[in-house]
Amino acid sequence: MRRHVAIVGLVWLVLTFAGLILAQVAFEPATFSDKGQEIDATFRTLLTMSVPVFTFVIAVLGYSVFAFRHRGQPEDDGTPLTGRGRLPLAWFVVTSAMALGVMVYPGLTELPSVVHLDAQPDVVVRIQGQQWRWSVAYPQSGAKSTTELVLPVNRKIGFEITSLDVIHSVWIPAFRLRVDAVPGLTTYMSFTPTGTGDYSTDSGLRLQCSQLCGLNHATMELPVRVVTDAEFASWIAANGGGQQGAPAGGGQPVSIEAKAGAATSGFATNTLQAKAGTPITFTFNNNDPGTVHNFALTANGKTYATDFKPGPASTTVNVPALPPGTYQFVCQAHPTTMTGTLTVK
Amino acid sequence: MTTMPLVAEEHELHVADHAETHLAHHEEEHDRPGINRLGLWVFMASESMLFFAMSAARLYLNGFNGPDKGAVNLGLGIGLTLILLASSWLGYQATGAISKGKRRRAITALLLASLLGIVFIGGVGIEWRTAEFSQNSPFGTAFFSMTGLHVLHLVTGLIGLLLAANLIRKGQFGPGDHWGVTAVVRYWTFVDVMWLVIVFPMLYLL
Amino acid sequence: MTTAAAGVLPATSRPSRITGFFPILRGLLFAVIGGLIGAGIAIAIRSAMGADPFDRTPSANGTMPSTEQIVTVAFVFGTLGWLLGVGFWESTVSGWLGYRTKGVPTDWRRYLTVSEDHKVIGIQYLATFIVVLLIAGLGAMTMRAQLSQPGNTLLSPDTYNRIMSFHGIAMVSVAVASVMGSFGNYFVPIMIGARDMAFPRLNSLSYWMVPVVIASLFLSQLLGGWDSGWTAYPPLSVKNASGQVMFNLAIIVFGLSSIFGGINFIVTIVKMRAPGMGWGRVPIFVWSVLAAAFLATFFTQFFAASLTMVLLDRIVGTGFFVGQGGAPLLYEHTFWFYSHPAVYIFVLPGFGMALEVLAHLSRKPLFAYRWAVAALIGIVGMSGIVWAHHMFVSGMPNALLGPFMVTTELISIPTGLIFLSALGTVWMGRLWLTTPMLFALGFVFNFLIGGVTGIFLADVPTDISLHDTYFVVAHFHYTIIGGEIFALFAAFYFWFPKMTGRMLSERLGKLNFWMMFIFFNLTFLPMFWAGLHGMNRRIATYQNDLANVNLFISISAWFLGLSFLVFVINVLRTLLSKNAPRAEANPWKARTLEWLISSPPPVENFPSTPIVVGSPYGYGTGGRPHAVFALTGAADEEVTA
Repeated sequence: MRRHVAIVGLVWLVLTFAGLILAQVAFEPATFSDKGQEIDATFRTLLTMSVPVFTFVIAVLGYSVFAFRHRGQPEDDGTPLTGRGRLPLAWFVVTSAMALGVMVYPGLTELPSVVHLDAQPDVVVRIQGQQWRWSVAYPQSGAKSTTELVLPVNRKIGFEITSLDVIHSVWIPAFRLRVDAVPGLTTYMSFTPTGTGDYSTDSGLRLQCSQLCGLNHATMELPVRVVTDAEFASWIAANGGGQQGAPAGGGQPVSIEAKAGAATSGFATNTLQAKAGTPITFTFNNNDPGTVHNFALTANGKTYATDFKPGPASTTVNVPALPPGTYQFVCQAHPTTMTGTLTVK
Repeated sequence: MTTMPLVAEEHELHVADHAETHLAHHEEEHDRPGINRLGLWVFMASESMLFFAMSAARLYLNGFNGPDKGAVNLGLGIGLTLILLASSWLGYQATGAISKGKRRRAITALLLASLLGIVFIGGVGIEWRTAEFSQNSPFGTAFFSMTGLHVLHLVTGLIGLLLAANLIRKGQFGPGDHWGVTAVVRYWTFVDVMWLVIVFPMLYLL
Repeated sequence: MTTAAAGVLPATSRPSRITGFFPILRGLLFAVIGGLIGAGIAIAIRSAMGADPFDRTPSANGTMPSTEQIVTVAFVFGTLGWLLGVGFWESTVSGWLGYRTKGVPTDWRRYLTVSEDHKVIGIQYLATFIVVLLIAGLGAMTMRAQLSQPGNTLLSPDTYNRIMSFHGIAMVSVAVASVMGSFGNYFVPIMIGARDMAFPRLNSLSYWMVPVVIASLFLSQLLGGWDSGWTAYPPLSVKNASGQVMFNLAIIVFGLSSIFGGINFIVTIVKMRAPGMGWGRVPIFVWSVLAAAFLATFFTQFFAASLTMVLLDRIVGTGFFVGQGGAPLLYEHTFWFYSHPAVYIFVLPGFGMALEVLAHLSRKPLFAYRWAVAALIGIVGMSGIVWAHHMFVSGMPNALLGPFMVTTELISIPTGLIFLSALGTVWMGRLWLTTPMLFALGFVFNFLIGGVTGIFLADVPTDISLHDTYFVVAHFHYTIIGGEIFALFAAFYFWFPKMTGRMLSERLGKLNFWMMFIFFNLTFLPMFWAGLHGMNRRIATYQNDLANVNLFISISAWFLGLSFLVFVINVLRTLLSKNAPRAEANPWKARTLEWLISSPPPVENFPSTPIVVGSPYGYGTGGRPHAVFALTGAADEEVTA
């Protein structure tokens, strides 16, 4: 008995030693946020703590199978250890202490800083999920995008997250952060990006829906780009930033409507006219009950889009003065069926 | 002390006509009344969880807010509660009667209890028709689903009461064996209690 | 109703049997008739209320309430028709109406109708759920084919989502009912020395609801299926195809079946133990079934309630989860309030089974029996206060994160005691490494990995990163396949000789084990890595840089699938071959009551009431046997078994 215990103890020590070395191997993908680094550190702590527990069970189980195995039917019984003595109590105390330990550290000690929300973020981004796309808006500047999420490095970012239809989840693997987008509820996330990069070089830099949301859940993603302050400022300016302050209807008014069933029948009209040389304010009247539409005009390599809202709703978007020509507009929720042409003279 | 042959009995048992012996044996052994009673208690305890779940939903959706003033008819609610209490009392009269062998009295009590049940359902129907809130408002959602769930249970209990009355008529139960009557009456009371302690306070008193 | 009338017994002495044409065919016919009647009633009610019965205007959620109302009522009546047709008319309902009831056939046909023998019902459950396991496994194989390369077009996203959702719920039903329904039904009464379950007809009702569930999940595909996974979170489940309605109805029926089963086990175990079987002499498997039965009896309502709320939102336009006051998080709370305890419904019988096999095949007393029992009770007690660890990123208030992390980590303490019991039992034993023993040892290894990785998911910071990734997929497959299904196989190989009187091939059994063990680990270990590297759950395609690991997982998964084929061959060969080796009464030389009777057991289980005189695990103590039989008519002349 004593010999068995000694051997198992030795096996345990060796396995634990080997395990602790293995647990130092870096295998995580790169992280791009302050909280991501904390979370990775917590993961590593838990991994290290779990090594001796794991190896203990493996040592006892493996050694028992090896040493006490029996070829064929055993002719006698094993040692009748009933486990009535102090051992189970000791096990109970030790495992309870371990559970309480892991609860306090890294559990409760790391919790507050990871879930902490900044009251005054440098950059606020409103993220809206809908089946099956993301749209982002920067309320401080008025910039909007449905094609990428751009964030400045080393600035405190605050996300305000909503959903139009079903539950989605905002997950950016490279930041290690996630929170659900729930209809009727605003959820929040705050963090600071710690390095520049984009989706083309690191697939973890993407805003991925991670809550099953129906048909195209798997591909409901938006590339994320972390850039310097200067690049961020010019991106904001190029994506409609700075126009939020302009009085509503400051440009020449153009209105367009979507009637019930627009998803198949298209906009009420597919041709629009406007004058060249003056800003335009598009008013989009969505009269299709319960269905989400918007109006998005592509001009000069940029997209000017109204918010996605289920009808009945009225939304507007301001477009700077355009040179004469023809421009395409679509409903981004139904880009194949709801299209049209704007003629600027 | 001899070692019993393990397989010896098997063949005789196998050739026997099992269906009957099985049932018969089953009834002889163990504490059958106790088993039945415990089974019913566990069933009722389990079923009450459904009402707790709906109450949790009601509180989650509408907090501790009640309906708008006058949206539900408290007088009607109290009246319905009294009807149910009376109905339960009649149910117990039926149990008492059958245990003394008074079949006609038991049948009458069960039918009266069922009648009050039907009156109750009619009362809920009036409440539904006169409701001033929509079924998709938070309170309306809770109100229609909880009363609907309760009426569903009442209908099951009602069928039970009528079946029991019919079986008494056919001479099924007597002073010695009337578990069937006791069981449906207890279930009926359980449904009443669910109204009294969960549905009514949740919808009328909060 | 069923419970209420359980005491209403027919006043007939020799009931005739359920005959006529095949009960199952008749059940199908009655189901169709019932469905038509139900549809008719729904149409009539809609007309009477002044609505066009076939109104095709979609609701605000884009669903078709008229169709779904008709489907719902048709489903209810179809289910009743099926149950009456398959034998409950003769066995039960006619008795409620005061007519004579009929008994069941005693030949092979008893497996195909309503039976009151717990052993027949156990085999019905076992056969059904092995078939469901294999079908849902084929679903998994198809999913792995789709995921073998990124951007694969083998399945459309919709097909993938539907197969994934079907795989999920079918496997959850296997997890809920396979061990409990089959081995629980077959062996719990025998192990406690009873002749049957407390409510045999209720037991049969539990079983015969299952075909309704399975059939509805398939029929649902005709209505567009459902793509919301087994969790069916609204608002998605309020807005998707009408197949969702069939899913909800089916799972409500399954819940009812589970509740009836739970009540039956509780009453049986509490009331029907043989003389002398105090709580300290109850085999651990029986304890584990009792624990799981408590959970099934008192928590399943919350799942039923959640699904009912979704159903009401769809068919009568209530506002639980959609509209102005709708609260999607309400569903997550009520759903997980059941579904977390549900994982203990899956795994507690697995614990019991593994410990049972480890003790008998190590020829050792079950180590720290009382602590193991306390652990089971502790898990039951705590399982109701941990649910929201599934919701750490759901948007619920941050104040709830800490408390649920604490309770979740506390529940690892009783689980640790199960490990103590398992390790203490094999320590210094005489390990007879037969196939069931290998599966039980595999259980301990797999569940260890499942348990350790669970810590990362219980911890809020790491869960924020790992939630809904393949890390979670790997974790719960380790606990459910690696834990419960390995225990199911241990139970199968352990008890098959008792149930059939034939021995399975040890060689094929070991091949089955090693293939399953190796390829299970090769399939699911890499999933932890994939999850850490940004692969999220329930997706039909993924990032290109995860291509290699996914191909590896897919190939391993197909080999894992092949190991089930080995199992099927082993079973069919033994059952169909005329000269398969016969099983003696006690091939494993074990001590519990089922081994004291012939293989297969006689219909009445015992020649006379057994009297329990010792521990079920008294190995190496040279003490009293577990039980003796008093010979009928000569109670004073006891014989040892």
